[in-house]
Amino acid sequence: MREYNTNSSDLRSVSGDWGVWYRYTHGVAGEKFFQEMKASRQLTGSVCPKCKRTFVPASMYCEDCFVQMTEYRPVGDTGTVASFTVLHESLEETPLAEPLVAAFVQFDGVAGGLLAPLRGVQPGQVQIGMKVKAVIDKEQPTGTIVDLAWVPA
Amino acid sequence: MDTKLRGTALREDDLRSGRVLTTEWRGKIQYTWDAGVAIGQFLDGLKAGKLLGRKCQQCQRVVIPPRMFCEICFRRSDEWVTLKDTGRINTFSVSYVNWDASRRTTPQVPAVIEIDGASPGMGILHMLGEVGESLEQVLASVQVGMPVQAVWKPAEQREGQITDVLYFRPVK
Repeated sequence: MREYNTNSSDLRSVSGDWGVWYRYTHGVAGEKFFQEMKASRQLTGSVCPKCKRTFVPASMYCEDCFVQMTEYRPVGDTGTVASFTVLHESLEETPLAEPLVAAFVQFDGVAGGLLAPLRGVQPGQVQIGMKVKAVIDKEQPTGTIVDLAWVPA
Repeated sequence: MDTKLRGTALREDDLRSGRVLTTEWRGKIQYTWDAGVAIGQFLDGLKAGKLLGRKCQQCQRVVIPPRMFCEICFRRSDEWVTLKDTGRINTFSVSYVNWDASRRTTPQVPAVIEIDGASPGMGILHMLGEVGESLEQVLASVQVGMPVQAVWKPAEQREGQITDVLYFRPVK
């Protein structure tokens, strides 16, 4: 009988799948943000009643004043690239056919920002400070962040 | 400032119907566990319809599940021993939940079986079968110390897995 293995094909192993998944709800303000994105195809911020700043994505509390925000307003579709990265691999570490630019975009006079793919521009042409426009153009929006992308303004 | 935490009650149907938006992620987290030499041999034994133990000549113990090293004598154990497929119930449980916490209508009865021919206290965790369809029936038919016997899959369906033994049933 076998006491040690020199042939890896003789090795006995047990394979399985952990079956891990989650379903994330976006909270009261996040729900408002994504419902507006889905229904009106626009980006929504929340307004602090105390400091009057607008936050995007909409959130329920002002992080500075610690008060609840119940007022929402559209923040428009034009923003500025604050940071970006160029992806050459998928989440599964397989090479992408085309490199993907992910850009963090901020809006004038608005706190926060949104991260989404930037289309229609060569990776080498992307610059911090460039103006981009939000596109929410899926035929069937899902009401999640994957509905959102940017194009040069 | 209103400090009362109200929360938002959600029902499964709110999520399923899309009235409330959600972001879902289903991971593909896989593993392959290397059985090692001793358990590899044990699994080969199961495929052949045998329960294999491992004997240490120094302390004369026979252990199952087998391991290549005697943890008492601190030395390599010496030989493979084919054990009977009978044993006695060391302990058991009556479970109405599956491994993933989903509910069962009829109970499963996991048990540790001390295998005949192995040293006292040596056994494997497996399932009992033919012991009833309810807690009352199981408790009426199962006792600690009771003799049981393996019920095997047909030889051509065995794969070298612990499930090659379908369950242990009371010896009638």
